Amino acid sequence: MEALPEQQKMVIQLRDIEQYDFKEIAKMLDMNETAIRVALSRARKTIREKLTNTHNYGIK
Amino acid sequence: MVLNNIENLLEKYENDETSLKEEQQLKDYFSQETVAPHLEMYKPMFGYFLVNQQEQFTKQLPLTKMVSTKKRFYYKWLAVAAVAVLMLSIFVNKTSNPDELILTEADKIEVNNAKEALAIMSKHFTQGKAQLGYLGAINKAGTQVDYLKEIINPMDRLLNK
Repeated sequence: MEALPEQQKMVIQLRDIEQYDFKEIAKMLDMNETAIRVALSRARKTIREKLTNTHNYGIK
Repeated sequence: MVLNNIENLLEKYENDETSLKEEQQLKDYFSQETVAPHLEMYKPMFGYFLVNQQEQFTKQLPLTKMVSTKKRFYYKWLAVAAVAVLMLSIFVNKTSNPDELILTEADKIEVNNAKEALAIMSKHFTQGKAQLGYLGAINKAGTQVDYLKEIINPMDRLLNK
């Protein structure tokens, strides 16, 4: 999480941890919903890639 | 069956198509002790989310700052509108009926009194002017008396001689 850019970190925090819906997040961050979804998608992708790498290195 | 469902949800999750309820299902699944080996890598991520749900998010969001900026903007335009209304009302009052603005009730009474006084003065002046005609007649009589004096004077001169 710390490796993510500030905006992506806030979006994933508000969605996956605080569990706000997209409209609420868009209001809070003064962004449109599409931008929120893009930031969230990138954040999730980054986290998944980092976890996959960690997982694979662990097997090795 | 459950595994298929989880795999479908994971696919939706990665495409940002899951609802909050479906995401909770994923968190619940990955909070179990044993998960499918090919999905092991997601376990720490959903575990992290689940643990952090209990914690309070304390980071300062820029929301309050933006609201205050908007409020300041409204106050600024409110002040401009108030000044415009004030100026307009002063202008309208000055141009619409200046007499009513200047004269009070006491002033009106004084003006009426002055009018009445002027009317009386005017009446007396007219009467005075009519009496001037008599003065003219007296002057005329005076000149005639002078003629009489001239008539009398030669007679005096003759008598004295």
